[in-house]
Amino acid sequence: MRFDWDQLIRYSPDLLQAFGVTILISALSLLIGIVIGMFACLGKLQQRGLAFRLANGFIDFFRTIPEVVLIFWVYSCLPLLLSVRISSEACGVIALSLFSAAYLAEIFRAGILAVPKGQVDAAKALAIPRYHIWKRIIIPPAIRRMMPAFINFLTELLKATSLLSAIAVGEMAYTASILGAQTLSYFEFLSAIAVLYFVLIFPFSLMARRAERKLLKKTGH
Amino acid sequence: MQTSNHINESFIACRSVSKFFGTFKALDDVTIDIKQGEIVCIVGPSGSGKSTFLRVLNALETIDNGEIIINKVRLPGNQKDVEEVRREVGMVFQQFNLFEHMSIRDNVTFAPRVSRGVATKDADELAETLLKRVGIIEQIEKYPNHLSGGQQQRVAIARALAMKPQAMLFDEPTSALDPEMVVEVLDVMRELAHSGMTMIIVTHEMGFAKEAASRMLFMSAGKFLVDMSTEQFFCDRDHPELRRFMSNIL
Repeated sequence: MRFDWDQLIRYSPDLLQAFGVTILISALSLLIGIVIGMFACLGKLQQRGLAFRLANGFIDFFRTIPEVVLIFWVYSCLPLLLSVRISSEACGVIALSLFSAAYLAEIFRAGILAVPKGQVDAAKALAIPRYHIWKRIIIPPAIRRMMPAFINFLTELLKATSLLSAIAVGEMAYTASILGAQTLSYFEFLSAIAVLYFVLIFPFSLMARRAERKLLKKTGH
Repeated sequence: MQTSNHINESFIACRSVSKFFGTFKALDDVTIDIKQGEIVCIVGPSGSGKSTFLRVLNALETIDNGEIIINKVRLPGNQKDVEEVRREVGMVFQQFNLFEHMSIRDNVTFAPRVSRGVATKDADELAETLLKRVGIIEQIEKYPNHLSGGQQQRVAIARALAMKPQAMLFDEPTSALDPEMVVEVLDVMRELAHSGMTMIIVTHEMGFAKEAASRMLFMSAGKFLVDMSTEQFFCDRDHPELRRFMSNIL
């Protein structure tokens, strides 16, 4: 068995493009997930009422169903339901956005709840208006506390994009399997994307670890 | 406006105030008046409702029954009323509760800037004056976790004073401190008492209470069982529950 570098070099523009698709889909899903996740988090922080029940149901549902089922559902059922055509890329972004929103909502909430209650009491006692309490007293320390979990989630999201190969989104995993089938150089292409995923994701793992160490030093617990 | 006997008016008036936590009655039909300039120390066993009493005065807890009138504003009230009360009533906590991610300067200037609309320059000057007064001016650019507990509590007092409140509430301000740091905090509070500030202090520091307080309250099971002048309080040992409490603490 010989590692055929020529094949890799010949198809490197396709791999590079797939690499871009992976990043683009992750970034879009993350952005949309952050926005929806923030609303879901705020809903869940209410602890009662309609907003709470909606948020809670949303979070529980999308954290429980397998990502692949969600992806197939959005791809096969959503267009029927809405009677529109949705590209597989858009389906991928929709599915991963919902997946991200549910997980990020819980990460945001954990960060906010980890801010000591005394900080908020002190701010209230100083007659600081609610908007400023959120902006200056709750959110900055909450962001620091949620950073390790947030970056860890980002690595999960990057990995989850490979599931979109199931609905033929031209990201890395799909592209490698197609190129492998066409050229019968599975070994080269699958090894190449394994390396690419590693290069893409491992720095985030390191960042998460560093954020965790920093937090530990800062808060002592 | 007439020259009223403003000084004799109640600054804080509680009427039949009750507070429940679930089925637990933390405050039981409390009625009490506190006048401007009074230094009131509240003592009593833990869990008797002392902290809850301070927290309802600052609307950190809502009350289930009765009403509180502070500086002519009635609680429970809307958000505007609540903020108005809080602007006039400062609070110091057992655990200091300094804003951990802000410098000492920002801790002191933040509230005057955003809730009184004080210009940054003026807030800075005020912070420097207050931090000099509590003896922490050298630490002004540091962060809370670089300061000792006693220093943090003195900053917390300066932070509350920066709002120029008419009254100050102290919730066991020295209970979380090492013994050698208690004195520096009590010194600041003593100086504040001499300046004429209205103060309500929950404390176990009987020596400080005896010397600084004008009035003593003894709380048990959500009620003020004893309400006396300080001189009376430290001679009078007729009250059985108070006697038991005092013999335990002294």
